[in-house]
Amino acid sequence: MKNKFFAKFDLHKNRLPIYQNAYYWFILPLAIIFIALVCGTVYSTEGNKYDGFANVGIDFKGGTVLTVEMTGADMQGSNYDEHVKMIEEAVAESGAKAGMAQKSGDNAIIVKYQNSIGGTDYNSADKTEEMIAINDTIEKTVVNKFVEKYGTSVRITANAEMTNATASSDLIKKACLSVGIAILLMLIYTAIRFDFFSGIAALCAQLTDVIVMLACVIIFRIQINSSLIAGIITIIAYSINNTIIVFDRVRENMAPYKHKKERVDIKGVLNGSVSDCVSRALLTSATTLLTITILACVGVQTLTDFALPIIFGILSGLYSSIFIAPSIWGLLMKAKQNNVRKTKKARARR
Amino acid sequence: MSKTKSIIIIVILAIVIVGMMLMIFPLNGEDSFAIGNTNYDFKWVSKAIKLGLDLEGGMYAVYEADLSEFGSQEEADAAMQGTIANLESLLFSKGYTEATVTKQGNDQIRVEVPSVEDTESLMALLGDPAELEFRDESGNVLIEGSKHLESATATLYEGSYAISLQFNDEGTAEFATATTNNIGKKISIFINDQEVMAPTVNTAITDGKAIITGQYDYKTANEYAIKINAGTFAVKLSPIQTSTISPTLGENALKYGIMAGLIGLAVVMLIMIIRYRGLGIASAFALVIYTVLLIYALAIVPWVQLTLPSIAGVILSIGMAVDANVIIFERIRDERRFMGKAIPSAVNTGFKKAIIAIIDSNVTTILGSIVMIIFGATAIKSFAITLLIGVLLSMFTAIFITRLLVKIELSFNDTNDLFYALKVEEGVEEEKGGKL
Repeated sequence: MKNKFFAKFDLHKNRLPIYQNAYYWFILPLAIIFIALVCGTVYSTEGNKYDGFANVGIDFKGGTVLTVEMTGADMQGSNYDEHVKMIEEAVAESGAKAGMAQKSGDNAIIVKYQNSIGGTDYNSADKTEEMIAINDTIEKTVVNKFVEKYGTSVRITANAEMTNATASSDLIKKACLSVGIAILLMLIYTAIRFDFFSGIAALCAQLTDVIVMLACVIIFRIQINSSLIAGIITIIAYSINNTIIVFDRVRENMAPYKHKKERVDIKGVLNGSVSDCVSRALLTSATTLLTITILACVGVQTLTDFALPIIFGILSGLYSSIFIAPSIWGLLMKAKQNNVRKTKKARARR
Repeated sequence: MSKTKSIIIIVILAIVIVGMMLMIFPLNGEDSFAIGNTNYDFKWVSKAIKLGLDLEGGMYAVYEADLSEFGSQEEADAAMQGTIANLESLLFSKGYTEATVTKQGNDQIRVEVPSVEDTESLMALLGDPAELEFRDESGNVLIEGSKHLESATATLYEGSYAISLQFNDEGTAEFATATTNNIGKKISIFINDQEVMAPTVNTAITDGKAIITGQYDYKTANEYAIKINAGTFAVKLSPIQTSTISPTLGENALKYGIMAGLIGLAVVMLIMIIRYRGLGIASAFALVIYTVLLIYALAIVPWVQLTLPSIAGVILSIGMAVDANVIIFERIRDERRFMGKAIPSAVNTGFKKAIIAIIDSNVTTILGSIVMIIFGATAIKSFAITLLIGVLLSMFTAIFITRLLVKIELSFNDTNDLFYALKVEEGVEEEKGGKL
């Protein structure tokens, strides 16, 4: 059995050089974070069409609810799409961007938009008056557009009301708390089932994924709303899964060293374990990516906004489970080995 | 496993799964079907899955708040915030985990509730505010619902239903003082200025709990509880507008979500079959069984309210189900390739070794989702429940169903490397024989 085991090692001629390049693997995530910081800073400077560091949605910042009601003609029938377009145009004329339209009752359409006009955020208290004026203009434009189309025989009312955030600070607090506890439990579990270094490495990989995901959200100005929270949690759950499969191989390949005094061949164990899992990691990430990508591509903006961060997260999860987590484990192991050697030497000198 | 046994298992599995599939979605698109001259109503499984505001729509109500009694804007704002928080927790306690409550303009509150279709049930949910007062024998008001009450719920008490009251901190202290001062005397409880009961105080009550009994049935007790709860709001609310709303994500979101899932599933099966051939076929069937079981689980488990995030949870758990199969098959391949084991024993060892990895990787996800169910806010809970169901099922199908299906295949053919996409590496000695 033992011979066969080592024979297996030798068969892996083309192993991935993970351990040798441990430090280099951190460059890519750091670069993405750096780009995000630069982009965010550029977005938040005055004088461009963006209104801040990140694109915070109406769930978190508040916005305006515009209800357009029409009596005398069919609002939601065959002309529904055209009506939505007319409202969207009216909103756009004032510089705001309408979100997904909703039907309401039998004869009304509801559109929500961010209070962000031409790169300025109108959510603050001192800008409320100005925003109300803008909303008045939008109301009038909408009414005019409908009157132009249907004449004065129909009755049109447009009512724009500012709302505050739906995602309360309570939601965010609870989300952070639960994610924190969840990650901590995962760390404890990994530390018990594997070793403490694996736990730390898996935790770092998870954090990398979340940060890279948020960085991409900032770079591509994807709207931050409450479904992003669910996306982040999804990625935390998915990423640890991938990492653990790698550490399962590491645990197995470390087994022969358990009762021996000889020094662990960190490089061999690590590169061999990762190489064993690469095809599996690629395949499973690819299958999940595929489904999510279809969701992102069907053409519904809200679905795209939801799926894109998850796509970035899965890609980052793939990268971190192959490169980041094993590298961190390797570096920690090496530090420990060096430590042990030092103390041995010190003891010998005595 | 013998061939006869395999065939029997295949037939039983096929009948059960196809039967379950037929009950998911009406093929003719209708809710009833005719046998002879009678139409039979049928509750399709897919209809039993509750959908969130973002996928199904619901109703909204706009309330106007009476802020005239507040001196300053700050006080009014604080009262509005408190009321919004109260409404949120009220809706959550009723199982509407996806409802939203927002302040609109200066003095309005907008409530959006999924899965509710008429004004009446919305009002029954949010209530017509009722005032609750505890008075002593000389008519002094001791406790006021709007100031001192935390919540009122209908509970079973000595054979009939009663209204259970829980006071807030201030209320608990006031109630303790009130009962201490009135031992041996009566305290009357008024709802909207009507006396509902007047119990005699026997001992001081310091735990902030009280029960109003009145031989109610559940409906009456619950109605009172809702009204009293609504009366605890710091501001007086009057509904000014209610109407239905279509899904916040647009009407096509659900359709596209399901479509993406199905296409994804089909392509994944194809990839598995191409890469693992015989083993891939087993995993493709296991995936079908997994999907059917998942739909049933989503319909049966009561707290599931399917939203866009929970669809992500479903897609993720499909990914994990495939993942488990891939881990197993890669292990089987390694056993055959590097150890030269005979196919049946390679399969056995492969499963054994893979199960440890599968359990370890899934337990972390399970831990995470349980924590989120316990501590998470409303929107996160329903997502976490979906994820938990998905992961548990994916573990079950990977460990039991896939294994069963592979064993069935092996009973017909256990030597063909080509069919199972396996090979023995050059220079590795091949084991002969080996039975399951």
